[in-house]
This record gives sequence, structure tokens and C-alpha cells, in this order.
Amino acid sequence: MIVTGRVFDISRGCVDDGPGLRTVVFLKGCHLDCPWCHNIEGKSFRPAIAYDINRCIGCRRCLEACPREWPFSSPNAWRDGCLACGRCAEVCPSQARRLVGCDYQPEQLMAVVINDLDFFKGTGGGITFSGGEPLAQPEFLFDIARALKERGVHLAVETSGFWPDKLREKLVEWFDLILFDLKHVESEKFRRVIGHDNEIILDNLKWLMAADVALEVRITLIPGFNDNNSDLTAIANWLTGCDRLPPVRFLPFHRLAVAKQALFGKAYPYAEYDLSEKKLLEAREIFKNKGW
Amino acid sequence: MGDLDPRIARLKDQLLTAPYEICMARAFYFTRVYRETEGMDPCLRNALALECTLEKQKIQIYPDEYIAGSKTERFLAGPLSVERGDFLRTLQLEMEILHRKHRPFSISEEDKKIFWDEILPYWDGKTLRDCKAREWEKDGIINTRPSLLGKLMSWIKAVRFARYIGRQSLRKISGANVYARLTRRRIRLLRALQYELARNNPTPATFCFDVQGHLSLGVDKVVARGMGAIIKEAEERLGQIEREEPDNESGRNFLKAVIISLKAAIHYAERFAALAEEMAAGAKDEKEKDRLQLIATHCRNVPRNAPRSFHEALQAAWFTLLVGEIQYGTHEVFAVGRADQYLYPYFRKDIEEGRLTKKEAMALLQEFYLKLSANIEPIPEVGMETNATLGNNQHCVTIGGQTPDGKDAANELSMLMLEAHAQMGGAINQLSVRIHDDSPEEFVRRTAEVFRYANGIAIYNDEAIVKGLDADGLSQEDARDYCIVGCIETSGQSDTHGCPGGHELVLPAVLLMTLTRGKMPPPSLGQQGGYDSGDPQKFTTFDQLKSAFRKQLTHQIKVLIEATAGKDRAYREILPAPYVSALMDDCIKNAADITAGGARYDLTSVDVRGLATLVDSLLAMKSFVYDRKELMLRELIGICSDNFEGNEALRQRIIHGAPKYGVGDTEGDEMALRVLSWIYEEASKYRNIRGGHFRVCYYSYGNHVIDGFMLGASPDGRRQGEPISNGVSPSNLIGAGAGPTGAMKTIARFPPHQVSSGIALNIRFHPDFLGSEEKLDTFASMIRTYFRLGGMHLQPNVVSTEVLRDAQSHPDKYRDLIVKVSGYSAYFTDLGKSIQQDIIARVEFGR
Repeated sequence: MIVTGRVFDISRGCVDDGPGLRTVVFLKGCHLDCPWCHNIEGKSFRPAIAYDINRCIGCRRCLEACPREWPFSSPNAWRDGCLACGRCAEVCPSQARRLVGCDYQPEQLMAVVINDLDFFKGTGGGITFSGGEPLAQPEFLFDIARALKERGVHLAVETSGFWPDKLREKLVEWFDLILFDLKHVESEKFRRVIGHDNEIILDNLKWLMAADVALEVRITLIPGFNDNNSDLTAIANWLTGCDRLPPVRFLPFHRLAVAKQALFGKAYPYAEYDLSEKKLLEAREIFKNKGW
Repeated sequence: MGDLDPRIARLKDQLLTAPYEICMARAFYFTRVYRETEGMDPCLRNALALECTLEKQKIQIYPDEYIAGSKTERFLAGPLSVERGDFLRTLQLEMEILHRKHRPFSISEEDKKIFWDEILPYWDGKTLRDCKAREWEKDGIINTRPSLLGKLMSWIKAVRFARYIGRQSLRKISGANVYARLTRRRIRLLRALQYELARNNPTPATFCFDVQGHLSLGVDKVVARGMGAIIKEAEERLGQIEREEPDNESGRNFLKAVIISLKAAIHYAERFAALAEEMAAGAKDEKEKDRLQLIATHCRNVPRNAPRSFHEALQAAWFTLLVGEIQYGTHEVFAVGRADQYLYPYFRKDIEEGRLTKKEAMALLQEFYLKLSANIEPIPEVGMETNATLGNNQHCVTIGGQTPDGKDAANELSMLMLEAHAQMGGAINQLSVRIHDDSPEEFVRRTAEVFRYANGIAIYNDEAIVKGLDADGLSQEDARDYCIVGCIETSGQSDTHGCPGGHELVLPAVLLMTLTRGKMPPPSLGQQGGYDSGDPQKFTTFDQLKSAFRKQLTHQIKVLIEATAGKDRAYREILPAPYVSALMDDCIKNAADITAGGARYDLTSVDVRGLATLVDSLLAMKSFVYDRKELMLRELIGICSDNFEGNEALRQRIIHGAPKYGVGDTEGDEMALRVLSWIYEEASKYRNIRGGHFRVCYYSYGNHVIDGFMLGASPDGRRQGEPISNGVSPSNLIGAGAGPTGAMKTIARFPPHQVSSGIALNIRFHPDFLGSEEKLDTFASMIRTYFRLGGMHLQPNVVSTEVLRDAQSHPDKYRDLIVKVSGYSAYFTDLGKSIQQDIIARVEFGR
């Protein structure tokens, strides 16, 4: 049986997620529930309908195509119980309604992402799998990775580290670069905010650091969660206790998700925060003092 | 990089805040000489008029200048070429009907009087424009003298035209004050203007402006040898002709004109030397005295002799160019060629001998750049929708690339020239960077890095361009020594009379004509309409539609080329350019002016625009009408002529659902390649009147916006009045989905010989795209990859949408913000609102 993967976005010509010019494939679904996640549409494994009122031309074709009874009591009420069957997106002329979360077979995805192969080779770029959590769809991920490796594509994966340890070997086998999104090292705080244990995550990171694979630890500075001095010092101390000192990159908190709220009818709890250059500099300074 | 030299900062500020003026001096002296020399050989008339202007025009040496030489009597004005006639109407319009609200031109009352009483009456019926129109009438291309019935018809046509393009567009193309009160004088002027459209556009799909120019002026020759050596060469050739070809009167006259022109140029420099000496004598400050004495020493030596230093070489280059501008007048668009090559020996020698520091060299280069930008064209409020005023006359500088024998040519000076541009944050017209497969990594990376500080650079691929020029008949050495002219046009350095500008074909208009049996867009007064290429109701297959389009295309290209011939004959007969010819390879040897085919290489381009709009339209029709059979062609044509009114859903489905050009998609690519080959096959059938080939060029400077005003909706979903696509760039209607690589992949497949005259690909990036050292490497290697795939040209704009919006609302804060339009660079705040919107609407990558 062919395993399909659920993708919620494919972005060409990216320069932020790994070396060179890259195509980033966003796999849908993640087992963690971080309230600040900016890919709010990537968290659930289920497909969803994005509705962009600015693109809507008011033709009402979606209403006719929808298998459910319209109208609903309030503008966003249709979302409750929406099966995301995608019929409205199919008939929408202006892409105001889009089905977010399409299933691809490895060959189908391959045909799309291989387009820029010349540019991958020419710029030292490749393909980055992001999400959601790409390792939450491991069979598909490793299938497509194997196929891409045969074409000589540089592969990176951006992961939260929250996956069973049996995936470690294969991950290292197929991927050239791991972008490890480290949120916090303190179990208590992690559990309180995200609702899961971070033991697995830290174990995976430790193992990866001992393994022979390029690794970059990425720390997104989350206001009030990991961006103050003591949090960052704790993270730095934990990292210095490992086998090797991995390169660390701080990512500023950004507001991309604010614009997505309306598309998915979801509130974004961090909407009032903005990125802080100052925090970024402070964090770099702390790590510099610890030997980075 | 260090801070900008305070002197340069002052010069830059002075340029960006100077008022726009109109100077009548050149027009006045040219009129006087032409009046006195009726019946004389045209070469001699031109040379004598130049001589008189250079002798009589008041000259200035401005504070802070170390390179002297002014083009007009005012600080920021263009020398007006009355004899060409194209902008006479512009000026009349400006003075009588329109009034620029944004940075208006100032013209003195005295100059105004001279213009109305002396200049205009003399040139009535004698300008190049008049002569061109007569040629066109003779060839039956236009008819501006119809019978009474014809006159009536022409007014009906005018009303039809006005109704077709709609009230809003009409306001935009005709100027804001079109509803102003009509006085008798205005009515008279409007009547004279009646047929102006027909004098530029033989049909609604073609333009044939009154320009030749657009060439690489032989600055390199003057910098290497001095004008004295060229005069000697001309005198020897003249002697030879007098001995051996006593009947060759035109050759004799041409050479005499060359000698007069060059001597006049030398004399002009000497006037500056004398002025500097006089000013130095009166100067109190020692430093000021030194400055003026230095200028005097330089102006005594160059451009007559070969320069003795880097500074003098720049002075020689500037004199060569500015006299060219005075000889040719506005719109001449002279490139200064491969400056990093011909200046390098002087630079190296001065550095080695310790006479020059890099810092001093950089300040001199920056002053030179500012001088290249210090030109304005009198464009009225109407043209402001699409054109910039300041620096509109693009004096392109080319750096990098290969030497004629195929080695890498980038040197220390090339790097310094990039740095000078970056440090100044722009303020230069056009810096063209040539890259080839073996260009040093450092040079390519440095070029990429400049975009962090300034826009305005275009990047060219030697491999593709040399291949194209080879097909155009240039020798391998000359092809490798190419430089960029005007916007993006390729040319041999000072050996090619390439005429790459002004003969334009608007592809979406050709398509609309195909779909309406030639009826729409409606011809206006005196113009020809389209050609009846068959009834679209009967196009049952896409192939039939295609072949009808080809028929229409064939017809339009034929008309355009006939019109070009009329213009070229007018140039040859009344407006030769002996000064420019003197500096062009082989003109002296052939004893013939460039307008008479004297140059080593003679070519003409057909300039095509709206490629993406056309290809997307063809793809939309193929997909919706013929493949999916969702509607009949007839219905789609009806929907377009109703401007998609009531059919927004269909419009959206076409935009999002039809295959597209410029996304690296096979179907779109194939269609584009087919269109390219049709155009090339058609154009390459013809020869110009001097025996040169026609080649094809794809750029649109700002005119894709004007075309948009004049065209109804097109089947790709573009609405009436919206701009058509620019250069070879993808349509603004497609989203960011294909990334920057989609367009590059498509365009890299263009066969170089079919686009040998040049292409313009605009891609806009957010500054974050270059945000780190690694990203800079990626940007540089992305360009190299595109070139290795076969891409010819790329002009990135690195500026965010927020900055552009802010610049619209606070123009004073962004006076030096430079953007690429389509081919040329412009000061963003100087551009008309419509074209600003077009640039903002372009997809932005990398945020």
C-alpha cells in the first residue's frame, strides 16, 4: 500500500530554513499543542477550510456546493462540524476558500518539489520538511526522503523532537540537516504550558548530538516562556552538558499567525506580542558568555 | 565601507533638490544656424549648429565640482532638440494645457517668448517628426489629411476611441486638465494635436517614435587617444577622398562635419579652462584656487589629447558624453560603455605611482555617477504616469564580464565602482554588471551585496548575450566587448548603430485585434486599424485561433517595419549625427554617417511588450474554450469587451485555474517559446534601410502602464485600464506560488538569438532575502544558477512593500530611493502614481 502524506503548504524559493535556496514542505499535524505556534493551520491532522474574506467575490457557489444546511447562525458557525470535504474550495473561483491539508503520494509530491532541482544544486539548497511535525508522519516522510535522496537532493527537517526513539536511526540515515526546535529544558514548565513531558525530546536531542549528522538547535524566543535570563541560562547550561556544542540560532518571535486568525476562525493567544530585537541580542549575549 | 565624502553628499543633495528647468539655449542656436544654412548639406548644418551652441552657450563651473562641464545654461535642464520635434508638442502642452503639479518645470518668460516667436514658427513642417509623417503619408501608413468625409469619420473614430478606453483612462493619458475651459488658443492647439497619436502609432498595436540614438558613444576612444587623434584620422581620410574620389561629395561633407564637431568639442573644453583660470584668479580661498586651477589644467589637455591621469580620464569621458548630449538633444540615451575597462590603465598607474588614493578615486567616480544622472526630460503631467523625469536619459555604465579575448575582465576598479554605487545609496542611472561562467566569486558576491544598500543594478549573462550578438553578425571579439545601452539593450561597444529603441509592438493589442477582426482597439485619427485576420466565430480549433493571431502579428510587424523605414529615411535626409559618428567604429573609414549606414554594425530592434499578458491569454483561451469547452470563444470575447462585468467568477477562475507563463510550467513555457519564435521569424525577414538586420528586444520601460490604459480587458483576466505585463516578467496577476525560480526557469529557456537585443526580467525581493551572509551567498549563487541555465538578464528590486507605500506618502523622506521599472532605473518618488502602483503590485519574494 502506498502511504500518503498530508501537506498544508509548499513554499518555493525560501532562504530561512537551511542552506541555499530551498523548497519547504509543511506536513500537517503535530502532537504538541504550543499556544504560540505560528502555523496554526498545521497543528491539527485533520484538513481544514481556510476562508479569506478579502478574496471572496460573494458568488455564493460555496453555499450551493456545501452538503450541509446553510445559513448558519453566525458568520463562523459553519466551522463547527465542517468535514473539510473541500467541495466549497473546489468551486471557489477566487481561492477565497482553500482546502488546507491535501494528501499526496510520494511521487505526486516529488513532481511538485523537484521543479527547482537546478537551483538546489546551484545554490547548495534543497528541500526542508517542516510542519506541523514532519516526524508525525514518519512512513511518508522516509519514503519521500528516500526518493529525493536518489535524485541527490539535500534534505533538512525541522522538528520539535517529540517522537519515539525508534525513528532516530532512519532520520539520521535520510536527512542531511536537522533543525531542532528546542523550546525549553525545564520539564515542569514544559508540562505546564504544553501539556507533555519533554523527556523524550531531550533524549532525542542528546542522541542526535552524539550522532554523525549536521544539527542546528533553533530557539524561538517566546515572550514569557523562555525569553528571560534564567530560562535562557538553563537552556545554555543543559546544552553545554551534552557531548558537543551544537550551533544555536535564535529566531525572533514573529506575528505571522496574526493574519491567519481570520482565515481559520481561530484566536491566536499571542496576538498582542511583537518581536523584540533587544531580547534577541540579550539571548545571544548569554550564549556567547557560555562559550558559543 | 565608510561614510560618504561630505563633498559628494553635498553634490548628491544638490542634484536631488534642484528645480527642474527648461533651457532654450541649444534650441535657440540650432534654430539660428539652421535658418541661415537652408539648402546646405545636412551633416554640415548639424556640425555648424553644434559649433555655434558650444561657442555661444553660457557656461558654469559649480561649487564642489572637480569634473567640469555643463550641458545647458542651467543646473538641471536638458538640451532641447527642436529639430527632432517630438517634444515640441510636449512643451506646448505643458505651457498651454497641462501643468505639472509635482515638481513643475520652470522656464523664464524670456525663453518662453523665444520659443513661441522664433523657434516654433521656423520649425513648423521642418522637424524630423514632420518629415517622418510625410514619409508615412507617402507610403500610405497613416492618413492625416483626409477628405471632408474622412474628417468626419475621424471624429467619429475619436469618440469611439474615447468611449473604448473609458473616462478614467482618458483622464490619465490626456492629462488632468483636459476639462479646463477652452480658449481659442487652446482649441487651435488641440486641433494641431489631433493627429499626434497617429504620428507615433501607425496602428493601435505599434509605436514608432522619433528616436534613433540609444547607442554606445565612443567614450573609450576619446579616453584612450583623445579627439585630436580622431581629427587627424578624419583629415587624412578627407585628403584621400579629395584625391581619389572627387565625386564623393557626401563623404567629403561628412568628414568636414566630423572635423568641425570635434574641434568644437575641444574648444568647448577650452572655454571651461579659461573660465576656471579666470575664477581662480579671483578666488580668495587657497583650496578653491587649487580646485579651479586643477580644472583648468585638465580642460586644457582633454578631450584634445590622451588623458594624463585617472581624474583627467573621467573629465575626458564627461566632455565626450555631454557634447554628445548637446549634439543629439534629449532622448539620445547614450551609453558610456565599459568604463571599468577603459579607465583602468589610468587608475592603476595613478595608484601605483602614489598619485591617487582609492578614497579619492571613489569620490571622483561618485561625482561622475551623479553627473550621469543629472539630466531631465521635459515630460508633462501625462507622461508622469509612466516615466520619471530625473535621470530619464539613461547613461548606462557597464562593468565586469570578459575581455575581447575571452579572459575575465573584472578588476579592482570594477569592485570600486560597485562600492561607489553602494556607498552613495544609488543616485545613478544605470549600472550594468556583466557576469560570465568564470567571473570571480568575489565579484559576483560583491554585486549581490550592493543590493543591501542600493537598487539600480541589472545583471547580465555573457554566455547568452555573446551567443546572441554572434547571431547578429558581430565578430567574436566585438561580441565579447559588448556593453549595455539604454535600459537593457545589448550592443557592441562604440561600433554598433543598433537602434534598439522606439519601434514597439504591443502583443496584447495584437491579440485583441485578432479577436475583433481588427476592429478593436479602435484606430484614432489618421491611424490604420487592425487587419481582418478572420472571423473568430469560425475558429473551431485552437490552431485556427493561433494562425489568425500569426496573420495579425505578421501584418502588424510589417506595418511597424515600414514605419521604421520612413523614420530612418527622415533621419538620413535631415538629421545625421556627425559628432556621434566620429566616435563610432568605421564611420570615418566609410566616410558615412551612422544614419547612412557608416557604422561597423548596423541593426534595428523590434521592442516587444506584454509577453506574459499575451501568453496567459492564449493559455486561458486554450484551456477554457478549446480543452475544457466551458464556453465558446465568442462568449469569452463578449465577456472581455464587457470588461468581465457580471463575470467576476469566471475572471477569478481564469486567473487561478488556467496555466500560466513564468511559473516554470511546461505548458506555459512552450507557449511562450512558440510566441518568441513567431516574432523572431517575422522580424528577421526584414532589413532596415541601411541593410541591417532586425532583431528582437523585450522590455517596456514604463509604457506597459500606458498600454494598459488604452486596452480593453484581455482573456487572461486583466481588466480594462490595468497595466499589461512588463518586459518578460510574469503577470502581476499570478501569485508568489512559483517562487522567484519559476520565472527564471521559464526565461532561461529563451533561445539567445531570438532575444539577442535584450530582455528585462524584474523580480522584487524583500530585504530579508539578503538578510545574512549565508543568504547573500545564496542570492549570488541563485543568479549564477539562472545564468548557467541560460538566463540572459535579471534586475532585482530589493525593497519592501511597506517602504514603497511609505515613500508614496512621504516622498521627501525617500528622495534617493531608486527602483527598476522595466529596464530603466528611476527615482521612485519621481514616478507617476500609476507606475508606482504597478511596482508595488509586483510579487515580493523572501519575506
